Amino acid sequence: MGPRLILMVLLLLVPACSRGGAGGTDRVFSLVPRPSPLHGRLTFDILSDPKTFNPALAQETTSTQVLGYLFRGLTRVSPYDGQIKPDLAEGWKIDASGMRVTFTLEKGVRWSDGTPLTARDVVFTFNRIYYNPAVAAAVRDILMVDGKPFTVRAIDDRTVIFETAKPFAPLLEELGVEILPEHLLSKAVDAGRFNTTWSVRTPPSGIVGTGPFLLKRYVPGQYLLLVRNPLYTPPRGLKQPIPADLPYLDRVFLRIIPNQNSELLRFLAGKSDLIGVSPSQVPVLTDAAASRAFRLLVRGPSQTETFLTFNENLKAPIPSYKVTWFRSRRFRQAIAYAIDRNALINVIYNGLGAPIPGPVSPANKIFFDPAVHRYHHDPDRSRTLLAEDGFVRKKGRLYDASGHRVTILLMTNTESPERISMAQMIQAMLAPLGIRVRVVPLQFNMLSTMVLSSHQWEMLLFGLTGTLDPHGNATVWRSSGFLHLWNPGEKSPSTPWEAQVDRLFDQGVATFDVGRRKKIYDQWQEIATREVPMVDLVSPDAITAVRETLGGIHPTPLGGVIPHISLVTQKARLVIR
Amino acid sequence: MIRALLLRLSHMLLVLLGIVFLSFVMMDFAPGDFLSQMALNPQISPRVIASLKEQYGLGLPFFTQFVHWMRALLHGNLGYSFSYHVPVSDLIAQRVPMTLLLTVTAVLVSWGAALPLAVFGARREGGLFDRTLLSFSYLSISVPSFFLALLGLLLAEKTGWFPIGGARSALSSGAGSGERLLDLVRHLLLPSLTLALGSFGVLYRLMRSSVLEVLSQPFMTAARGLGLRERVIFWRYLFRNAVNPLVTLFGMELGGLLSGAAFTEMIFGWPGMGRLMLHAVMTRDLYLVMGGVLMGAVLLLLGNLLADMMLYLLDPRVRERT
Repeated sequence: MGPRLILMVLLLLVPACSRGGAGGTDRVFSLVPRPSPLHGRLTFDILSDPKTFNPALAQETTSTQVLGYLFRGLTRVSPYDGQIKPDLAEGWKIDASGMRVTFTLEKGVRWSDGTPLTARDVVFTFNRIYYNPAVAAAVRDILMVDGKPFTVRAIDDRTVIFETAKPFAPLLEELGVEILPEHLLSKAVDAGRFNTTWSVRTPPSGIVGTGPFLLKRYVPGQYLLLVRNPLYTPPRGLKQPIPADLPYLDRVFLRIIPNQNSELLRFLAGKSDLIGVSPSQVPVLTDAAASRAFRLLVRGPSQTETFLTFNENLKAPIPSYKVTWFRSRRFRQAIAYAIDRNALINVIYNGLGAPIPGPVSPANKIFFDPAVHRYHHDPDRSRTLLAEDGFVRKKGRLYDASGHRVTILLMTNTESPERISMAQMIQAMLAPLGIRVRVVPLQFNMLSTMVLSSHQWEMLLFGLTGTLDPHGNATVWRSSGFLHLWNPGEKSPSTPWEAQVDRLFDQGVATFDVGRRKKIYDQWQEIATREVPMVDLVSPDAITAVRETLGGIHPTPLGGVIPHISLVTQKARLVIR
Repeated sequence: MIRALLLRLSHMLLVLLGIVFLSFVMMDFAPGDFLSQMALNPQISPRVIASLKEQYGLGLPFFTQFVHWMRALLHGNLGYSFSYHVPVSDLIAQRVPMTLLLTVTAVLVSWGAALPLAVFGARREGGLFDRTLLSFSYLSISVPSFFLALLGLLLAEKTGWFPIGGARSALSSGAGSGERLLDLVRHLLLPSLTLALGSFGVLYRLMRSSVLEVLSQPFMTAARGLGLRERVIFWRYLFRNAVNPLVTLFGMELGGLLSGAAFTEMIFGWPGMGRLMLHAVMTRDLYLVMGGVLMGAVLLLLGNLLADMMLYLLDPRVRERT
């Protein structure tokens, strides 16, 4: 009786599962057009609670995403082409020295409590908050040149001057950081209470910004409700397809759903309007798209990338002959040629991804250099390079000139299953060369200690958060940078090409003209792909599923799903029968 | 009795101190801390990390940190969460009621169903009802709770009968309190049933075998032989003896009330402690983790105390010994 019953229950479950997560066709989704696309509602799920409503303290993506709808900075990055555009500032002037930028604030901008925004707020935000050592602001670093803060002062109500110790081209992009209201926060700063101000326990009406939406309600662990900010003044140069006040939507409803499977099911059931999709979910969603009234938008390679790097540190506690291999350009190139990037994309990203040739992602329309050297899969080339470097193969095993068998430990972090499978594939791709790779997945904190403090690693598979401005790579690529992973904290560049990269970064940061800057960073990308201290691998496509009820959605690789939340409309209502 | 109780309480304090100290040691031994996640971020320099470390008090020697925390604890202060910048007690107070709502419902359902059904089944051992429930309890033990939760969600998505995750709909603020309550119950149904189903199997089997054992005891035959009424036999002899081993289990269940539902909470998006703690452990939010450990430990100890007291009342043999 027992086993038979279990079988019966399982049989009952099978039809339910075999139709796949996409669900049956039992329910019909249809669209009913709304009389006007304005005053609609947008609903989507986020994976975790915001940790704070204080933009200066926000560190992880959920908080910054939510705060992005409530606050604005002086400048913004255009999601379409990566250009720096005015936001709270209507414009700026850079003087001839490149060390002084004068911003004029947009006329008539008011905080959501009605108080006018003035230059005093800008000065307060920088001098009293971001540069205040008592404030736990992790963003402070990007607002400094060589460890020195900018000098910020107001000339009149609408004019602010930023002065830097040296010409600093990324300034305009960095000034996208949120501006905060002096009239509401100065008391907390004076009393040393700023770090606990505007926390998740603060009543929503107390959070005052200049963004398109206001926080209306927050129920911990459940949802956030944002409503339209009637005092919102849109930034200059934003094209409005409908002549009406922005934002077009009345409400944004963010439900907190900590599990991706549940998020997907909720989207399929029509409970949310859009969802970020991983390449592995695409087959399931493609089948359901028509019946559930949504479409899949593939935005092209995302900013997420993965690379391999080698320990070139002469003082590292690993066998010195290994460091000698890693310091050889030919050896690194041989590895780069041995990797079949298309296979990685097909297996790990279901074919939805792109090879990343160098340190700048092709998604970065302004600074990506299409002329960089690309390492196509070419094992013969790898063999030639290794032979030229004195390596010999005996019975399928590779030995270096002094007879050491080539075995390498490849470390990556356990938190990312994709990286672990990628490491295993790389292991298999290097095997035909006679290189024996052992994959060692480690917990993130452990890995970061080994890479940054004890230097006890050989080869590393990892990814770092990219920035639009190439100067964001300085901490990795400058020989003195604290994340110069392959040889950290060099007193002076240990190779001529590293010295040249240092010079290029010094020039690049001081050049404001975008055309001239691009030429400088092109040279860096060419050196990077020739010397390959980091073998850049692949990036998954950014994919979003969007319900047909929404309008004004123009996803771009840079701007994410919703480049401008204020331009989103709700064209139709979803009716499920 | 009173003396024994006081002795127990003082033991409990010692055990609690031990648990808390060991957890603190383990949090310290594990590599990295709350700020380690930032170490590989190209936009955050080691200098800023060092200054944050100082602000958070993470640079202090282990023992100083522990003493500071204990001293604050004696003043009823659980410290601040690193990631939320609010007092740990606020965060926990926010989440505890939701978790208790879920777990207490589940405990009531599983115990309320398993005990009577087990007695019923055991008295007709080998019958169709007994065998069916026995097979069902096998299934309930062997299917992991997260899988059951996913099946539950799938069911909700297929049929549209239940909400898919969360604890509340986006009701307009105009909804009446009756409507709100109904909405909460609808959301509560699937997650609490999932949890209840998981422990139903264990309880059913334990209670069933315990009843069978008591049924075969000579004193049962003696009671019947004396011509006692069935109701007296049942409550005084059968149930009281059979439930004895389950009382200890009940104490353990109390201990799991706050932490036992983490998987289910994650999958159903239930805004409870499990989710908060999981995230705290992953981000190494030290004082939040310690607050959670403390709450869990207190509940476990109280549960065990309660179970022992219940045994004392139920079982004369225990009373004799103390």
